[in-house]
Amino acid sequence: MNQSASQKGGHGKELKVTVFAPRSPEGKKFKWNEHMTVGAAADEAAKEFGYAQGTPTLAKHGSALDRDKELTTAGVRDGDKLELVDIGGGV
Amino acid sequence: MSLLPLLAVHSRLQEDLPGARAWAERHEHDFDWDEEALRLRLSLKGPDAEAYLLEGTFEDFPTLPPSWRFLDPRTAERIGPPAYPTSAEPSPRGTALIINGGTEGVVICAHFNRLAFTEEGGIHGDWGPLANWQNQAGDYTYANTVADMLARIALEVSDSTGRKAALP
Repeated sequence: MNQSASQKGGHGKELKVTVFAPRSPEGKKFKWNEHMTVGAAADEAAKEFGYAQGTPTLAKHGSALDRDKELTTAGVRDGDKLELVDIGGGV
Repeated sequence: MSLLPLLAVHSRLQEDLPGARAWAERHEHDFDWDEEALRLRLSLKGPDAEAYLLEGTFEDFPTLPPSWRFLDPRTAERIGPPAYPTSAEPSPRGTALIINGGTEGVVICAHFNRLAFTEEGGIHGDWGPLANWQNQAGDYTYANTVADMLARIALEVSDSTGRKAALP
């Protein structure tokens, strides 16, 4: 399980989630502090899946979450299954 | 005339397609891959369960980007604007992915769509040759695997606001 630097010694509950990326058939497990932003979590997950470019966020039940919100504020809960998605605009 | 041997295209697609197929299964989209035609068709649903049919073709991929377009969901024919969803306005992602332009009157406007380049009748002469498709910067959408392209297009469909025009 991946554990972010912000998790260590941070206040707040720990959220264990599984993240899927479109390019990978298998999900990866992450352990994040509930106060971590969606954007920071998505960036970390994207790196783990080998994404080098783009603007990733996490999606739950098909809805992209606001990168600026904290995980719990955005609706992420312990045990969730989330999906990485790029939210860059059209050109 | 093809730039890449068919074997090279198949080799790359064999890397990409398992992820794409798994993504489609997770999201319950019908996934139809025609290996001989190098053609992928994916059924998508917009709000209110409006049906859309996305098609990608992969000649010379990944040296060149795929061609992505929407088809008539009933017949799989090219019908132009009625096949396309309307991007939400204002776009929750800054700028719309599906815009007016190109040879069909509407185009999925991303570097990963060959049809957005002027070389293929699209609006972007500023992107240079098709082979530049992976060399883009800025905050615009980026995808270089089939699954990532599907996911980004599906996201645009998920919050679309109806068809560009009524089905004929």
